[in-house]
Amino acid sequence: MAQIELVGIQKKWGAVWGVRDVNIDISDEEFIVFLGPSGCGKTTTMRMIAGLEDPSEGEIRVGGERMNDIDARDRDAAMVFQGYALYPNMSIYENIRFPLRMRKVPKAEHDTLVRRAADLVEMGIISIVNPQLCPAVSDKELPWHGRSCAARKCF
Amino acid sequence: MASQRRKKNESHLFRYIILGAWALFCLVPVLWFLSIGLRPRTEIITQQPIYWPHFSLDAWHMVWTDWPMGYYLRNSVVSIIGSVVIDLVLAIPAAYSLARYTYRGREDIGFYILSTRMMAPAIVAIPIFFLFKNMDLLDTVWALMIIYAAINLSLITWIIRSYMLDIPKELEDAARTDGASDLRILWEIIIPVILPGIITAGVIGAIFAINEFLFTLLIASTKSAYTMSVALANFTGGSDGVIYNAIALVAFIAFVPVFLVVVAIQKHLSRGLTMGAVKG
Repeated sequence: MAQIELVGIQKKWGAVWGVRDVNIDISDEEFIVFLGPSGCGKTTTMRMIAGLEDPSEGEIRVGGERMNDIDARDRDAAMVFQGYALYPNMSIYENIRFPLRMRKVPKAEHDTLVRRAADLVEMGIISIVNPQLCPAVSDKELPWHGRSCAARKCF
Repeated sequence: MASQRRKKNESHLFRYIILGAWALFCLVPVLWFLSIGLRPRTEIITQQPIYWPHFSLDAWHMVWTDWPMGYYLRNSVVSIIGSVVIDLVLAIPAAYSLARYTYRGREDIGFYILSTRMMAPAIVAIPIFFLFKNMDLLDTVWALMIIYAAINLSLITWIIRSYMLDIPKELEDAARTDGASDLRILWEIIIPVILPGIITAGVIGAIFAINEFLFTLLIASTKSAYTMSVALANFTGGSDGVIYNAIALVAFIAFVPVFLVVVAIQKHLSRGLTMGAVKG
């Protein structure tokens, strides 16, 4: 974790304001909740922190380092999406493993890390399921969507 | 309980009857062609109806011995598979760009790609002939591959683009925050998720290519690059007159590969893989 600073952040699409002049200082390991009516810019602010949206103005700093020009994939920011956004072509095991593959973590460590992340979100069963037999995401009956989405972000 | 089951069985039976009737209706022309192809030539053009036709393999022998139909079939299959591969390699990145990136003129480029399909093919027939002549590609399967790919590229790009637009953008955002590059997202998420759509686009492209006649006739001026569609036309001229049973049999043979491909991949032809990706 690290300190996150938003300095004079603004987001505008043409004449429409998404976020106007937001200044927040989040300390390391501090727990913050954004609360507000729909359309007030909560998601946009979070997307800007994650690097999925570029701010029109202002500066985003993580651990004192300016992040504005750093691509989302290099920011190492974890974001859980409202609709879970699990990859439907992969099993739950593969979903959790995906960030490890993308970040080129040595293959030998994958299984241990996936099981640890699954345990962390109390998806006990995933620890004993063979990766090959792990159910597909499209199986809607499973109550694991939210948990596996969180587990994916535990690394 | 028993009455409910009976009701269910009845509704299933009714469904099978309707679907069976429809399947038969669709298959009749094909079976009709096969029956013409397997009758002697003299029995096809008669004044009186023949209720019990004779079975004959005359046309079958003629098709495989007098004409190198196997060679034409090979030409068709190779040129079509080649064209579909070229199309998919070009169309997938193009469709991704049109569906996901924002840049100036994106809509115009998209429309321009589609507009190439709106043109009457005859307009470019002569320039294309000279183009391939200058490239020394006339009478080759390579030329057919390129021309089929060029004709179908716009359509395949647009079909794949529409499938890509259906993918929730959150999936890509999630992959991006997981550390995936654009290329990895395309390869690991987008392509597997829309694979049924890609296969559908490929099959549509193949069907268009197998039906293509004008450019094939133009480019294949000798038999070395003839395809099934041009070979069919050969049975309508010459001193023998119109050889109906051979035409019917060749049409049937041309139909079989497409039919087999569609049967083999019918599971993928139905969509719905993205369902469940994002809980709404």
